[in-house]
Amino acid sequence: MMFCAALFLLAAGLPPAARAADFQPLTRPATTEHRPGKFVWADLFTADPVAATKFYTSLFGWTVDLTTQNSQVYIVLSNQGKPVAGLVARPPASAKRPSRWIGYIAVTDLPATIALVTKNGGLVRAEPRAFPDRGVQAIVTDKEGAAIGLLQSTSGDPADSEPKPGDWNWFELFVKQPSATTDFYRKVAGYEVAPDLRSDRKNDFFLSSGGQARAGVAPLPDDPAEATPDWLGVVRVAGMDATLAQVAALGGKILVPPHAAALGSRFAIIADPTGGAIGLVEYVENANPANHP
Amino acid sequence: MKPTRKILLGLLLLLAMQIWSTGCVGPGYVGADINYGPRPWFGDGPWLDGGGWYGRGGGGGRVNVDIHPPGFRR
Repeated sequence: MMFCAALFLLAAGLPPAARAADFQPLTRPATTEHRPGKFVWADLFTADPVAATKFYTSLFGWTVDLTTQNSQVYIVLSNQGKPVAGLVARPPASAKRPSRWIGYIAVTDLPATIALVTKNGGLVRAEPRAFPDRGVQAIVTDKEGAAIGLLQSTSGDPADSEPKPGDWNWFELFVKQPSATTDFYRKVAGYEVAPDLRSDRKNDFFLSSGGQARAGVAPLPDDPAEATPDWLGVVRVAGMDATLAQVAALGGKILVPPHAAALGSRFAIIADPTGGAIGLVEYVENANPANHP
Repeated sequence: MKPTRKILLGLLLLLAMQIWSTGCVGPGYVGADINYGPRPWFGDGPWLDGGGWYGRGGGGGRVNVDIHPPGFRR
């Protein structure tokens, strides 16, 4: 197995210092603090893990740890030493299918949450499974088909803090019926739902828990008609222009050019070379709302 | 292109092909399952495909998203 791990590292052009390890706990040292509703993890499901790893390590400076169990490899990507994401290979039959990022929200009682998912019109796509040092996790789709992970951590959930460049900054859900869908998440995950009063659309909402805004819900555009409901993870970057220049050089695509967003930030959406879509945000001005009483 | 670079690229290609054929990087390279850890976790399918609709319409390619760092209290 170590041979295979070494092959991967060579193919991805990564330093041999990347190591094989067990699953990494969400928080280290472990705590008993849980923050249900907080986005605590994200996995990229891709048919080309080598290309995806090259892209994200080059773009964000993320580092790689290989988790090996029974000859299977799971790639953990870390930002400044903090694990932030995983990378999972899809089977060859899916080689031409676009990759998908799936964010995981913290839950404290996964079986109960799963029961609420099915009761409220969602589907269980990946049954609850315990992973050593990580916890128990599952993947479901909401009533419109958007995929979301559920993770009951055994090491507690990370504290709320301002994201650094390379950290996840926000998650946004695009659906056809935001009001009905927010009701699903309120019932399943216990979110407080509030309208986004700054939006010119009356169909934008915040999902909050523990006094923190965790995610947004917005309507899908009418055009194109084939737009499908989807969660979009957004990573903070230090410099948008430099990052976007790298995107093209690394084989990615700019799907939505940078433009001004809330609180003096700039926002763009890109796709990695394997088709995984991800948002980028740069704090141009002082975009931390905590500094805007 | 320098010969050494060609050799290096060829080697990388061979390694990538070997990884693909042996599946040793590949959770999920057995059948159509996604392996996540020691054994298959769930079945792959179209539901797992990325949407990629961003930028194709929706107001001239713009997506109206508010970006809220943690710290925003509501």
